[in-house]
Amino acid sequence: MRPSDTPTTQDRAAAADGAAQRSITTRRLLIGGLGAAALPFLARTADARAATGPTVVTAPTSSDDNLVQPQSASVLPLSIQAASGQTANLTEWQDPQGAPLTAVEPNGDITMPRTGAGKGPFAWRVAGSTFNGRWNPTMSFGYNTGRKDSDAAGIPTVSGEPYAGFFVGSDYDDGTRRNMEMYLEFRSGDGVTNYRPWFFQVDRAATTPETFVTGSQIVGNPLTIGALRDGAGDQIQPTVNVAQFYANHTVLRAPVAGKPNLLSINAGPNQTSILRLGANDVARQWQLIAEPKRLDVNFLDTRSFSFYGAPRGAAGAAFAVGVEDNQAAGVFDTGPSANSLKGLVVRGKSTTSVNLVEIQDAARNVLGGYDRNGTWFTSRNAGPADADVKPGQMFMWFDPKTADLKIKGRDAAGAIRVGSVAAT
Amino acid sequence: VKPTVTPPAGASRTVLTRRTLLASGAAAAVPALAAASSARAATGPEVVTNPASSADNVVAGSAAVIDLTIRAAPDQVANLTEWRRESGDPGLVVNNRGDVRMPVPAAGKGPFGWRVAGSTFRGLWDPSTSIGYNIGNNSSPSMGVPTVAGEPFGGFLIESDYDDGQKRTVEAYLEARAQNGVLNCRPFMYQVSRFATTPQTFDTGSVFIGNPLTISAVRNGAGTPQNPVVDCARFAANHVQALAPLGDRPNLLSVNAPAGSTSQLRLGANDVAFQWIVEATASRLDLLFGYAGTARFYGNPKGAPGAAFAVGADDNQAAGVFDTAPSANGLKGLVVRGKSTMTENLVEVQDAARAVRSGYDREGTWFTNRTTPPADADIKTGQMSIWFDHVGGNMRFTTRAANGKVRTGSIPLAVAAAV
Repeated sequence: MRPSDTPTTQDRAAAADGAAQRSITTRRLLIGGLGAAALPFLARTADARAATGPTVVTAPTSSDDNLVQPQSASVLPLSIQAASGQTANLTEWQDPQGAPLTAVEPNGDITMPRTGAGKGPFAWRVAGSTFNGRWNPTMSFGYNTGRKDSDAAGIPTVSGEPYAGFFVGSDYDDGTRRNMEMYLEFRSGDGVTNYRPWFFQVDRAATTPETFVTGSQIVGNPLTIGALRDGAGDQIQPTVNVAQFYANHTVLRAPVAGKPNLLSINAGPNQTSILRLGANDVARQWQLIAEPKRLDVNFLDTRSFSFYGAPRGAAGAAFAVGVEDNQAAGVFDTGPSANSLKGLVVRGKSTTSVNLVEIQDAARNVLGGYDRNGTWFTSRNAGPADADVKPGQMFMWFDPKTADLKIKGRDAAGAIRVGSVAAT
Repeated sequence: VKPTVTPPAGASRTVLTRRTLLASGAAAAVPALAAASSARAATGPEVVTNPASSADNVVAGSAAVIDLTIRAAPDQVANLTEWRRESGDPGLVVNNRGDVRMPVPAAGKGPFGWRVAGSTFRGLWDPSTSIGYNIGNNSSPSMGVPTVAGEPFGGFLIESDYDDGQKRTVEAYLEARAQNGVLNCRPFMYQVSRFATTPQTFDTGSVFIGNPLTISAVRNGAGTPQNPVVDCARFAANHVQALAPLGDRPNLLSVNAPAGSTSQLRLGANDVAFQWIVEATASRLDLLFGYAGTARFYGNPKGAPGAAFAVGADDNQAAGVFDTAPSANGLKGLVVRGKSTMTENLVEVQDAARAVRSGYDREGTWFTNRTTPPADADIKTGQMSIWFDHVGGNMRFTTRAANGKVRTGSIPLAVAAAV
């Protein structure tokens, strides 16, 4: 844009102190009267510096005094170029006493050094390192990150001070591929102790999401996961702790009183969910597998125990050991085990006062069993119907009227046989 | 190895050229410069306000010279520098405090910015910085005061020397504040000890927050082009969910264990964190009440593959063991309870082919299907077995007396009725 194309008036914010009295147009008129003759250097450089406007002054009295506007769109209005071996800052914005508020350092990094004696600056820097022969341009934003005499990222500006910052590595070659990385990084005042609380790495050349993300990690000591909650925490962080991740210990907190604490493992349609419990460095030593109607406990990959929520196809409950079998509320199968494994043991103690085993009806009446000493007994006072007695089967019960032990069986020929033994 | 910055096109004149040109009394020709500094020697051509060439305003001094200094006046209120758009609206600003701002050209909005501020905690100044939206107000040196009141703010903040009363720390966090100026949260926050020398004492706080917090994984074809992910887990208060985003496979939650050690799933109740514990050992899965074993599952009973379950004892002699020893005297060992409409036996003892050998029928009457005697060797002293001679129609006994002699007996059964 040439000056002649410039509007004679522009919307400009007035300086806060009201000193911006002269408009751009006014200044152009003023400079027009002086012309090149009044500015010797301009005349000498007239081959490239035609109408260049008034000069920037070091003690402006108006916010309009140092308004730099190029004459055409392709002109860079202001350049600050470093000298060879530049050591001083390229630009500083200073407080009235001359202390830098913000600075552009010799390499173009921006720092805000107003942090107090002994402290490092806040800074936005570009540096980098070479890995496997490839330059990795790196940006950091944070406290005390980087030093202007070093190309490498992650060197404290002020030694002995910790640093903290957000880093972007744009081309990290790990030897197998070229990556981009983003992470937080802290370094202690000792200059050695360091970690990256969260870290993400992507493959620069990826074309699918799953090959894109090649690393993602969040770190804590422990890492705490929280949830927002009305009235919780403090005003700055109104949260409750939901989970904490320690080395070898993950805790799901129960921050809300009056409600249960849930750990849910969902499953897709026709799929299972699995809780794997490791032991002795074997990740799936034990597995709890939730099938649609059955919960299995696997020893490694062998189904050893099954809990049924719908045995025999109907609502109910059953438990099986050693077999997938829901024909009974409890099944104890020795089939897959050693020959010396017994089927079922019920053990009492010397002071027990109740039966070791009871067979009950639905009303919890005792029908038979083994008393506290292990003696078999029956409380049945009637025998089975003949139709319920199969060939080769024999039943016993007690007739309390005659005090007889009653016996009924079906012999090999299919005949029902009965007998009794009188108790004296 | 750092790439060299190439001067912009058109900057044909060198710094040296410009310095030479300026040598003839430029200060006198530029009153402002003359007035500003009596000590200025060769300063080159002036920066002009209407450059015609990109080379016109190249400021280049010697290596030890600050090329450009913008100094605030006492009680400066105006911005120190503005980079303006064609419209005159500021695109980038260094304000009176030296903070960098990028104003949003929309009414009522705050600027994006990078700010240095701080607060004093327990007498220690905590220099802090923030980068984000609407962060920081010129009227306050403190962090977290919105630039434009009534607008929310959000940004990344670093506190470089926060004294929490016990230690001096560095903190880095995101912070968001609602437009009411009060509601606030820090979606993630890390705190480290400034003087730590070991990793575990370095990180003194690390928190991620959600409502709920969702953990996701990238997945081809999932989500949106901007975020092609599936959700893996959600953390809400009192409910952690391991989601199952993939429909073609089981969903796993794994608790690993190092060599020689176990893994535990602790289930709390009534504010007791380890009311119940499921502990996996190399050969046994224990269900503990507190730290006391309640039930045990054996994957290797008696040292061989198989399955056994025990209640009240660490005992794998049987597929099922029910021990009342650790319990009250009133606890029964085993109860099998029927229901009035049941059609099958209450208890069965079966062989490997699942054939019924004996048990209790659906009414609780004991029965046996054994029609042959046990081998004498299987009868221990003091033991009696009952079986049914279904050919002769007798109930028979096989016993071993106290003297070790096997004895047998029989009760004849009469034919009662034809079937």
